[in-house]
Amino acid sequence: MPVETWLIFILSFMIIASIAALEIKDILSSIVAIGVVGLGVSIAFLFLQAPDLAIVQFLFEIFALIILVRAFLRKDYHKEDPAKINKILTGITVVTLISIFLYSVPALNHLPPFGKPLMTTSQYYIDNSAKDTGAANFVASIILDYRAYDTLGELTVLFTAILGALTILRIKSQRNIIETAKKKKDGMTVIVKTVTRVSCWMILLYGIYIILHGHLTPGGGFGGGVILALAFLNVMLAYGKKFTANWLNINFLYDVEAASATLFLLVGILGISIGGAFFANYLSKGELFHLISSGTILPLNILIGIKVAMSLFLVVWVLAGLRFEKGEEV
Amino acid sequence: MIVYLLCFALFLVGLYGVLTKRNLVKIILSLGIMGYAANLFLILVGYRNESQYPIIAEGVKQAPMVDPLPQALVLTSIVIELGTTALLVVLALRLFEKYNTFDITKIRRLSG
Repeated sequence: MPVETWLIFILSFMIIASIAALEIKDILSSIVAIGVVGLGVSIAFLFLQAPDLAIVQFLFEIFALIILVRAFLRKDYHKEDPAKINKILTGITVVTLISIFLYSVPALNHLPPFGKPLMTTSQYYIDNSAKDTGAANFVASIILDYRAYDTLGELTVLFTAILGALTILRIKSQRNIIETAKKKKDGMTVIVKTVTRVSCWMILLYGIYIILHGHLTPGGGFGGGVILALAFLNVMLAYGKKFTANWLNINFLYDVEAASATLFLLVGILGISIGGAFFANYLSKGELFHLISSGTILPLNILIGIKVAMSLFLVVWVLAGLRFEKGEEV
Repeated sequence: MIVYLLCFALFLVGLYGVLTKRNLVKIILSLGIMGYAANLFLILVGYRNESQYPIIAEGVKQAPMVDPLPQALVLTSIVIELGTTALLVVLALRLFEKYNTFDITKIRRLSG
């Protein structure tokens, strides 16, 4: 079957799943339906020859599901009140959206047809990337070499969003974690703990492998960072929060998160003095297909991996500490 | 062409959710759907027929490749989406803590 047929199938499936997600009354079911949509995107990326994106989308989807379920589960507000939904307003919205859809048909006709992109700047990247940057993965070479400045901006957005989330919840959550640790027995059974003792290191190793080979194979800092965060999460679920707090030293993780973001900027600034431009690739390019190659792409990948791992783990950490009774004052 | 239209339809489903739903959780999920559609659309535009992924391997002859530029931009966009989702979730929880509801109309009423 040609790619287009597969994509039509996947996209229709995703549209149905997302309508279901919006119309189901139970919140947990709609979160699961959203997970289906996200994994559909991941499969579509595979068909569109984007393995990098498929890995990253898959991992981030799983992580988003963890965050959503942890945050919204076990609260008895779940059900929506069906009586009060304004039917006229919904009707007007649907009609407007359908007319927008019909108007979009001629607009989308002006785009290059599916399967024939413009490829002007991109052709330059494909032709010269291996020579210029020494990276076998061209997506990594664009993110961290040609367009590293954009990536810095995007990391800033991520940093700010995570910082906001942590600031809102941190203090309250810290207090709760200490209280919970005092009250009841932490962690799961001895079987889970024993398995985790082995599996957590294997997951960590896989994450480090993905980060270090970011310039050679699909994955890179973003994907590998999530795997690292999932390894820490594994320990937290099996051993409980008290043990994890002692093992990892949470305040130190906050410092590591901020430090990796600053170091990313520092690598860019060093480019001005050594390479003559912001984020210039001033280290030796090495030999193509070797682990130590492609200049600054490797260190930048490592920094992004640490940054993503720390920030995502900390978000789940503060969410895990959150626990409030109904109607409690802030 | 029909893939573009379906992708745009997915985006509109998300927009429909943002406009009509009154539960904060549903609004956050709708924003997620819009994000998926936008990311997927960029990759759809960059696809080239009979081409391979933009990664070269040792000892393999280089075939024509799909456009790597949208892939690079979407990669970071996926990450940011998770960051903003986390921020929205935390804000929604904070509102729930104060008003004990996720219904945006009730939240508005209480604020006066």
